[in-house]
Amino acid sequence: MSIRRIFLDDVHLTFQARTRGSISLKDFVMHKLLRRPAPPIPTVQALRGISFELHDGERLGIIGHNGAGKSTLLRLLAGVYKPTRGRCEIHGRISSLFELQLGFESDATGRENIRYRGYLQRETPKSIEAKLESIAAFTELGPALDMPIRYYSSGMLVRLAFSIATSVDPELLLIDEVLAAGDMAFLEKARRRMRELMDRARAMVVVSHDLSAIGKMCDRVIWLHQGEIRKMGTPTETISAYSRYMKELAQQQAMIEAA
Amino acid sequence: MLIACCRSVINYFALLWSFRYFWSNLVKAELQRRYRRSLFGLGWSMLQPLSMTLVLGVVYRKIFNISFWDFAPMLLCGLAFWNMFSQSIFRGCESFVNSESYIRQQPLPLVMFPLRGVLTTGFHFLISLGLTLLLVWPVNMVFYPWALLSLMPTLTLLFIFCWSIAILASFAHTYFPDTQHLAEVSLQALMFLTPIMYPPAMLERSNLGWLLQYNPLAILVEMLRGPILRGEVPELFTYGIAALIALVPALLAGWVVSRYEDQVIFAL
Repeated sequence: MSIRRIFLDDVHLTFQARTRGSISLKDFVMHKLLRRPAPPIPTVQALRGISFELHDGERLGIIGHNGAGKSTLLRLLAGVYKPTRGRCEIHGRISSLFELQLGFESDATGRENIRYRGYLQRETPKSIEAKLESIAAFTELGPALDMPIRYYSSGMLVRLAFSIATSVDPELLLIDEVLAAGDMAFLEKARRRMRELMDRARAMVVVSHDLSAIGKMCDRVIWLHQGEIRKMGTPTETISAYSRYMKELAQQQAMIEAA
Repeated sequence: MLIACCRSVINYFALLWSFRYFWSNLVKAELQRRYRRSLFGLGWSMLQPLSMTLVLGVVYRKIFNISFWDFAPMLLCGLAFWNMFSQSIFRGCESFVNSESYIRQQPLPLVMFPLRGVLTTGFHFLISLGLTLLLVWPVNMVFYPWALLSLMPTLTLLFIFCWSIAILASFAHTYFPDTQHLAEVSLQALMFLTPIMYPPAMLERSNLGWLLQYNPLAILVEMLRGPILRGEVPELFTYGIAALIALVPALLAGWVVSRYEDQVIFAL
């Protein structure tokens, strides 16, 4: 077995923040024809000079404000984004649990969607058939599984997505705070399943706003601030530094409001 | 340089192949839903070309004095081709946007999304061709096995052509959301510049005959009609031209994929 490892060296990610529909072909051609400069597209520096190494058996936590680049970093590790500059080496199979908006075929039944998801994990029809029943059972959706998922409630979709996403045998596990929805009974079950998954994973990167959970789970924590690593160290070190900063920020804000 | 290029192309197709169960099952499911495992469903989706053929066949017989049994198979074959081509572009345009949630989860060979649309429309296309053959039968009462065999390379080239165009459309539409609208307008114009709804002979008689020689779509559609309607095997030279017609968009699509595939996520 080879060694599971994540290695990032001075990774930058810059992209143009063009939202869909920002430029039409008509405008584009007109600007070219009239030699008028096109309106500038704002550039976002989502990640700046990120370097770290994650070895087999390690659990890395990532904390920071909204928009600090936490989820972007996770997506970069998953290979969804390619670094603009720098090196990103991943050795091992990535399993990711991002926001549970998995791609689904809304006309297909829950059971069919379980299969399609499996195929995206490079399962074969045979290998997915073996897993199908246990995934289906975990959802507790019963006969609804044979209904097209366009009729599912959001809670049902979360159950389905979660059951599929956590049915993997993880090597390098990437987790972006996922347990947002679902009813209480399922939430408890889901938490247990997550813990099992984390125990089985060879290495893990987790993004969360829940500082105490991160502190308990991880053996190293990165504090991201505006796309840069502000601090990296043991959970206690990083989390206390981050909490101090948060407190100062709150005080400043209170002063501004008072003034 | 060339070797490295070839290697990355081969790797890319291997990657695409590793996801084969995903895209092939999506195509299968879509076709099954459409047809609900019945012949009636099949007839339903053939309704558009068939009713067009029937109506135009009758009208053309009255106006231009063209025999229905000459005209109908020609039209049906032309419509089959045109639907394949235009649907590839249409569905191509939407393919990335509709698959955004897949694309945001994991790195995927993006060409599989346009491929999905091309395979689905390709299935309808083949059925329409089969129907054309059935229409030719009662008139000619002959069967041209060699001519039908000569369709194989044509169909392969046509598949490459449509897939490449669909890929180009999908990228264009992701970056420029008015692409589909523009495509709609230009396809309508293009349809009248291509002998789909009228026999190519009508163009030849006018002074627009050069359109037949320089319109790649006209060349492709005649490569289908020749063997099916008249049992004519296209010349080797024509195959060369068709290969060129397929190769140009294919190379362009390859370039676009290598240059922009990683960037699509930021445009979605």
